Amino acid sequence: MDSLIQELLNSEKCKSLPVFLDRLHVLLQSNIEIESISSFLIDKDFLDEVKNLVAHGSIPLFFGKSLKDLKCIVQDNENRKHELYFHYNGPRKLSITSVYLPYSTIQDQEYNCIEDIIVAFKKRLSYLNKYFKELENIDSLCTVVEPVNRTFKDDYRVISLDNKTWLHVEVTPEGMGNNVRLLGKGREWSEKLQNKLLLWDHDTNVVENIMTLFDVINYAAPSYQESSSQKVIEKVPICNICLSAQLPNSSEVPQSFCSNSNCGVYFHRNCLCQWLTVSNSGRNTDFGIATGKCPSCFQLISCIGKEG
Amino acid sequence: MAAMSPSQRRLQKELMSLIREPPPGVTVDGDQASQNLTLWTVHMEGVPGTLYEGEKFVLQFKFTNKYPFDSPEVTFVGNNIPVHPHVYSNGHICLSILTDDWSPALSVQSVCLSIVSMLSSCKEKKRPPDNSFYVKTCNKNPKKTKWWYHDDSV
Repeated sequence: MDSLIQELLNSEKCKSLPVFLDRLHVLLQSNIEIESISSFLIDKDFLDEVKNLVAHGSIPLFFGKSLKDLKCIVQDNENRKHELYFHYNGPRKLSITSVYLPYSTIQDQEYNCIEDIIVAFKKRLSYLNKYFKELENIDSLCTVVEPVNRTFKDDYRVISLDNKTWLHVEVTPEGMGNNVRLLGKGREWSEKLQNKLLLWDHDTNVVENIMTLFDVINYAAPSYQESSSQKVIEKVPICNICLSAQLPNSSEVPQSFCSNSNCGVYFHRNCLCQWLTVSNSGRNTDFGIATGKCPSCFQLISCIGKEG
Repeated sequence: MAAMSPSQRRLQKELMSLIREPPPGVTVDGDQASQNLTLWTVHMEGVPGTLYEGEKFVLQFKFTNKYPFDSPEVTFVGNNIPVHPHVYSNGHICLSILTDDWSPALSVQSVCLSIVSMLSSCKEKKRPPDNSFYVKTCNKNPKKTKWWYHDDSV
């Protein structure tokens, strides 16, 4: 296109400006695809719906980085506010770009209008009601150390039991406890878990199940308020290699990996694995397990290598 | 400001704790180190009651971006290089934790303490036996030297 115009500009066929403009017009018309223009625009139906929603004011609507990226805030039956991000792909073609919910098929569908999206989203929210309740219950009653900045998108919680044992629990969309396992090594906790995991009762809530599991009568109510998440972080041990509790791009908690039970030093699996690889002169893991000497007490230490 | 790398984060933490709680006789030049986290100058005083009482030494620490997986390069600099059987007159130190026995659980503070204890346990002030040969032939970076540790007792 550019070169055609260049050619026209340089040719001597156009003796006057009107002739040049005529030719340019013909050139432009033959080269521009109408569709490529219309895809930059938003159709009237969509615009009307946006206007209506804004005028009505019942559902707050926000524009994102372009007029085609929108966000709205939808309340569920218990007045929790949920953000819903969606994108205008073309006339009667809308799709959900992200939600703070565990994955579901509503994210793969295409919708005719904003109302359809909101209806589908609300339906999903009411389906997840028990899920929200369980997570809120865990967050308010237990000392949750992971995920640090949690949303309803995170369907798991890591709960601190003592300073070297954590309980990982997942919550299904139906609000059931799932994949309950211990992190770290507290032998007495692990025995309790093995003896009683079969008694897990899906009719009562996750926190009560955890309490029965470990014979905790009064679950130590967290001494922090939700806002002071800093305090929660302090309870997590520091990794002896990076000297931080938290890694920048991961929610991993430092754990005790050393075979020497008196060592008591914690590492991020990531940091330890990196060191074991370096100290083995770059040789990678054997069968996915990195082994070597503990950086602190020089006893045997091993951890599962990096995933993938 | 760009996000800190893991090695910068760790150095920053070490620097803070070394400034706040320095081991006796050890001071770090905090201003210089915070301007360039990869080059630290540490001042060290000879421990009273040892051969180095009253002497002052300067240590230089150089870190790569692989720290703490890679050991720091540590040398004595300045006018007063301690006369010690493991310290060459060019400032290079023969200390196994600085090369083969390095571990990421060690730190600037633990390296300083090791050097203080190495100096303090000295019974006779003298240069290493191969000093003049070594100083003439060695690489500028002591980490390039394949050290033969003289003894484990000091």
